[in-house]
Amino acid sequence: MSRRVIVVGGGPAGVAAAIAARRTAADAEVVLLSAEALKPYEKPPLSKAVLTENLDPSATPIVPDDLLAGIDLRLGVRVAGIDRAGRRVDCGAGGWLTYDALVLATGAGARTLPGLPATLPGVHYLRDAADALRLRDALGQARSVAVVGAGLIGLEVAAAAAVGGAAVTVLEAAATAMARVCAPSLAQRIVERHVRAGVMFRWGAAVRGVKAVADKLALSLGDGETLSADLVVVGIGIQPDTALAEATGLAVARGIVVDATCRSADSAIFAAGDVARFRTLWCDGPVALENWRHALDQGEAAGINAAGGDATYAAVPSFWSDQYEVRLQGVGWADGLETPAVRRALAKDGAIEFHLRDGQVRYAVGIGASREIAIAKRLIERRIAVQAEALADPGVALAGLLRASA
Amino acid sequence: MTVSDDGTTTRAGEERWIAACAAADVEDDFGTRVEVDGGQAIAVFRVDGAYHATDDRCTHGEASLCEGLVDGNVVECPFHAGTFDIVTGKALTFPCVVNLATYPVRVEDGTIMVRVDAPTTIPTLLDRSEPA
Repeated sequence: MSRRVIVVGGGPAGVAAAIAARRTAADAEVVLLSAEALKPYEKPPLSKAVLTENLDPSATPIVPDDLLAGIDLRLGVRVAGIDRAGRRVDCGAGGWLTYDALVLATGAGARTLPGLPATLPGVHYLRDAADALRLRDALGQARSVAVVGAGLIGLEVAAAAAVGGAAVTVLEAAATAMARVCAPSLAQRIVERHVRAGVMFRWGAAVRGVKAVADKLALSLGDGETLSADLVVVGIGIQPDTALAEATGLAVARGIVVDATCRSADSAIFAAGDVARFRTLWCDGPVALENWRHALDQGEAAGINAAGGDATYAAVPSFWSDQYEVRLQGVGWADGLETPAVRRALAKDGAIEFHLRDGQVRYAVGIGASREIAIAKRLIERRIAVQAEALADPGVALAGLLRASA
Repeated sequence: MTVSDDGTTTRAGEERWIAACAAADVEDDFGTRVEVDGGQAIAVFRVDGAYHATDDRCTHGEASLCEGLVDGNVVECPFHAGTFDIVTGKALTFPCVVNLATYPVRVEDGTIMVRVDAPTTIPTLLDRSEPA
């Protein structure tokens, strides 16, 4: 009997895993189970073009149909449980399905604030296509929008709402925006762009709760004030969807714990994408990376290994965010690095900052800095020794640093 | 349009060579973006001292390949990090799966001439055997 690889989750990690498994073992049976009804679609547009350009989520599939050829894709299947001893998964009405290898790519849900229940009409969280379409409809009616959280998703939604003509207020518990990915000076550039679009910001704002008052929502804030809005969107991070793994006794610590081959403590079970927690060369401690490129790359490694191949996952993390015409990109990992960052001014309103450790770039983030980020990625990957002065000096060609110590 | 045995297509109109840029302006690390007409942009690359031209826009996302770092004959898209073979236009790594059009190039008195009426695109083989 041929080997059967089951992949749970129709996001980028699951799709990449299924395709990689298919290519690694031509005779393997590859089953991709997705709880969603839509064919695997791209999530990044949900907080961008789906809101601003009326894009239909199904118009941006993760891969063209041809790439899914030979994969048994089953939509609308929510896996109810895993029987590790019997190596089988419970597909609910679909019965039990046995596996030789299982890839968990269940992703993550939105982290919720107890005071802001998603069940209250007018309160929105954004993770999947259904959320995005509901939000788009609601934005079309809303004159005032409160966005809770000045992270990437919150700010992308704020930009979409502002472009749509709504009066937008962003409430952020911290003192600066996007504190996880950039230093305040760079974040300030993006905040200023929002302010030009009419967006208001309240820093250090704790949201205690929300009440429906007439046909509006009243948010009560930590300082005793109240903010009234037609619509509230909450973007305060994500929570890995580890329920299946936990129920079957796999090690979970804010993510399913896996090694560099994406294997969990059970050698027949792999995890990849938002749901996985692992150690990587590029970060100090174990991390769960929450970005698109990571999901694809780690999913691919998990799929290869699940099909009997041999892949180690060691990609450098990277992310991007589009807000208005501004593209923010980052590469590497920022936590625990030397500050202040080394800044370099770029032409045409671009800017980039580098974070170093032991004379090597470990993280870089910039706006309007595609070329520089591409170079930074190589500097990080190849662990090239650099001088902070050279990084900061616009007169020094960055690409030349790639060759300096080669 | 001509289609060769392996499915490669070449769309050729009346030979139209345009002066794209000075050869001396083309770096090794990045392509040089040249707007042709109707908003179409061509990327001119130098690989091992030879010049090549492809479409500038990535076949996957909204990105200029001239912003992507060149390594040998490979350009990595600066947006989602998929890669293409500059010489053949072949999409090499995920998420790039659709091949890139390439154009004939010649150098005349230090000027890169690109034949913009004749894009060549090798067939996109979605069931490539190597892993993505």
